[in-house]
Parts: sequence; structure tokens; C-alpha cells
Amino acid sequence: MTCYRSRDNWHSYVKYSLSEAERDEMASHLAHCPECRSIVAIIQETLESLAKKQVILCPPLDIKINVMKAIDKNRYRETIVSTNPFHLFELKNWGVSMIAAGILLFALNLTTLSPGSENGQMTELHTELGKQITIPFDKMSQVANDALEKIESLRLSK
Amino acid sequence: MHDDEAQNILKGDEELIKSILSGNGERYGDIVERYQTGLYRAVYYYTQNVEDARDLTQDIFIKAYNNLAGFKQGSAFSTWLYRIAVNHCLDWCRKKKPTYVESFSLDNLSSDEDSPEDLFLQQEITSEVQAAVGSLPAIYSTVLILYYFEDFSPQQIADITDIPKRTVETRLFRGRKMLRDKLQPKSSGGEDHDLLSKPGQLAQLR
Ligand SMILES: [Zn+2]
Repeated sequence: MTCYRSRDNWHSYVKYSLSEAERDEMASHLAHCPECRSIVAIIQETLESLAKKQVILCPPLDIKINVMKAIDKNRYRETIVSTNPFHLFELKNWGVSMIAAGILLFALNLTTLSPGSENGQMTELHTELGKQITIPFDKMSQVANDALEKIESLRLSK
Repeated sequence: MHDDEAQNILKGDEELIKSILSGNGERYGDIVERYQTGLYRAVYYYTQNVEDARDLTQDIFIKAYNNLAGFKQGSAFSTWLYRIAVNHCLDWCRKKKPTYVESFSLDNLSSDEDSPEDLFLQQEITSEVQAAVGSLPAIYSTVLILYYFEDFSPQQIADITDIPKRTVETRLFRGRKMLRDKLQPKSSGGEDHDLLSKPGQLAQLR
């Protein structure tokens, strides 16, 4: 005769991995069921016998060495800003904006610096460098605009 | 007492993993040291040879490291690690279709060099049980290895293998029977050969 509980959680029972209530209930069944008792006995014996048969198998020493060589030990270290592509993109945008602002300021400065110029040309003071940058005022805003447009298109194409 | 010990291991693992995840990658060496013996042994049941067992064990540890951020704190690391291990071994078995009988044949043992590894292999190969477990269909060998050799409970095995606990119990019953049949010669009474338990009791488990 086969007990309807012969296929119960006896493997869990043997490993003490049941709730106390469950375990108590199964224990009381065992008390009056020789069939289930023999199942538990067989599982226990198998555990013991296999433990004895188990030859101690030492892992080769180089497992740890090879694993530690293969892994990237910095994998979980905080990443620095410059390596983050998102931050890089932001920085680039900032850079472009700064250049644009610089050009605008430069153009505005030139216009305000020489209000007394009559022929629309700026012959900058006495410096060598100054003499070289002689730009018609009326074209200044145009130049600045063009530069801004170029910068803008560069940014969009990225 | 048993529970306290398990609790300590759990805590120790958790601390280690926290440390690794906060950038101390070198500490993974402690994890490897903690688990390599059990893992290597379990893997060996699948591969039945030391070279593949070593390679697979290494792969498993590397895979676990690279996925460590996915480990849920508060759960058992061993279960998580063995989950990766079992999947890796089953994949390997599917690809390789290992020839258990061949690797078990004595011819393989009489190699020219007698490196310590070979000696180990010889020693290990004498374990009839090991070979028998390895020759079972993977769904049975897996639950037997985890239950009998790696000391996991059916619930833990269910977590590792992603199958219901009920199924684990059933496979443990069937797997044990299959193992007994492999180890017990049919012709003789086999009293000396029954490695699992006494024949009288086996008769009751039908
Ligand atoms: Zn019963």
C-alpha cells in the first residue's frame, strides 16, 4: 500500500527547511506511518553515504589568480565626469555658447569704443595689432551673425 | 547554531559585496576563496574533467562579478551564484554534449605525465557515484548535486533552478531512484554495490 503522503516534502523535512508548523505536522504523520518513515530514513542514509563517498576535490590554485586577472577591478568605481558622454556633450554645448558670447561682446565693444569714427572705418589707436584689425562697422553685426549661424549649424550637425 | 552560522555567512557576503560595489574590486578575491571549493566541485559533476571544470568555474566567477550590481542585497549570495553556475553548466552541456562514458574510461587515466592534477583525477574517478550522477539527465543530476553535495534545501534549489519546489521534490525522488539503478547491478543481489542504502529499505521505496 502506498501512503498518499509518500511523495510529500520529505526532502525539505530532512533539511529542516520547513516552517515549524509544517514540520510538526509531518513529524506526527511519521509517528504512525512506517512507509513515510522509511522514505525519510532512505533520504538520510543517502545523504550520509554520499557524503562519505565524496572525495575532497581541491580547486586548482590558479582559479583565483585567473579570475582576479580577468575582472576589471575598477568596474564599480565612481566614473569621472569626462568619461561620461552625456557630460561631454553638455560641456561642448557650453563651449560653443561661450565662443558665441565672446564674439558678440567683441563686436559690441568695437562699436562702442569708437563712437567718433566718421568714415565708418576704425583705425585702431597706436598699436601694431590695432592697425591690422580695420573692419567696417556696418559689417560688424553681419560678421557676428554669420559666425553665430555657423556655430549653430555645427552644433546641430553633431 | 546551524542557523547562526548561516546568518553569519549571509552577513559576511553582504558586507563583501557592498564593499566591492563601492569600488573595492580587489575584495572579490575573498568571494572567490569562499566559494571556489563548492563551486568547482559542483561544476566537476557536469564536466567530469578537471580542465573544463577549472575553465567553467573561472567563467562563472567572472560572469558573477560582471553582474554583481544585479544581486539583490538581503538575499542569499550562494543561491544567486549557483543560479549563474547551474545555467552556465547546463549551457555548456548542451553545447558540448559531453561523452561521459569516454571521459570515465580508464584509458584516460594512464597519461604519461603524472601531474598532481592527474593524481587527483585518478582519485576522483574512483568515485563511481560522481560518474553516475554525471551520467544522469541534467534535470535530475542538477537537483541531486545541489541537494546531496552542495547542501541546498529544496526551496533553495527551486530558487536556483527556477522550477517549483514541488517539482524539485519529485525530481529528487526520481533522480535518486535512477542513481540507485545505475549503481546497483541488476544481475546480482548487489549488496556490496548498493552505494545508496540497504536493499531491504530500497524494496520499500517503489
Ligand atoms: Zn505516510
